[in-house]
Amino acid sequence: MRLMPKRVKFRKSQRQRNEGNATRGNTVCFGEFGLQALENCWVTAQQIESGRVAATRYVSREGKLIIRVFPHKSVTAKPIETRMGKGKGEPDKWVAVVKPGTVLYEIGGISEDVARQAFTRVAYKMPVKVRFISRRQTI
Amino acid sequence: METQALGVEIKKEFGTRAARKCRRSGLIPAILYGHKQENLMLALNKKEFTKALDAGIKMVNLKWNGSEETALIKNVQFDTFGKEVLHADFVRIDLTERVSTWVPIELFGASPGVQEGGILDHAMKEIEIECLATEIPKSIRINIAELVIGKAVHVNDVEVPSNVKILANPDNIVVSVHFAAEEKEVAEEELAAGPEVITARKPGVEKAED
Repeated sequence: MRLMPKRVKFRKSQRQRNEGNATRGNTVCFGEFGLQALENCWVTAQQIESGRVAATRYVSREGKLIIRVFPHKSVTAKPIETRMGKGKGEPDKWVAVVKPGTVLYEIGGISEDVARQAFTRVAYKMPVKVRFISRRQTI
Repeated sequence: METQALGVEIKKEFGTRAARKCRRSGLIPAILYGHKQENLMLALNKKEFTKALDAGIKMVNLKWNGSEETALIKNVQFDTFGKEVLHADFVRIDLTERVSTWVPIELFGASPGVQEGGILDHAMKEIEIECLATEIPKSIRINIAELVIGKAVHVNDVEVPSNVKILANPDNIVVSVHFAAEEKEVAEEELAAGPEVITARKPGVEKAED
């Protein structure tokens, strides 16, 4: 299931700068363990889906996996062997803008060892360095 | 509830630069307030405080220059990655007063629903309670030995000691067991069509003339 918005205001978006750290979405909220990005990047819908499949297969449908990022941004590309100009290319893929600290996935209902193993497999699918984090108790 | 003794210093300088200086020297800037007394700016040992936090301590005895005050950890600020403590808030408490705080919910017992292939959904992992400062439970335990598929434990089903009052909505679900949701198959055509564009001009609709 490739992720994509259902409705958008505009088909194409400007690239924008991806700077600074995540100030929101940087804690484990729904599960017990999380996978946190340590660099900034665009995570494509394909990569998010690959990560989900990798984790789900490892835990053999036990526990609950939560995807914390969504690809809201469209990225355009021009066809190959095309001359420059003639306007902006057509939407090619959808990406989630990720900043250092963003929690990409969360998992709950399984032991820490299994969660670590599952997220190690997900980490291979991610375009950035990630780390395993646990839920912190509310003060 | 356990109380941890923490040695603190009174901080005379305040502001961003002073706080950063404090952090560089291995201390954490903190504040103590409450009971309509003067706010006190503190600096406390980072290692000691982190250790106390990891042990689930909520109440502390702050000691400085022969003075001592009992306080509840009200808020803790972490950095982006949740590794380092940046700041802590303490609120003065009386040991005879009732305080509100969050405690973790622990599940025990083997759910028959899970054994039948259901998925255990532990929706509420912490719960807000009100009790005497000296009687804060370490956790609230819930038995899920009778939880079958399609059933849930609500807040009003949670058993707590008589002196503890739950502040959460009684209808909220704490834990439930349900079947795994089936994945929706999305047709290739739908994916290829892309999302609906709100601002797109619809065919046959002409722009309104002035």
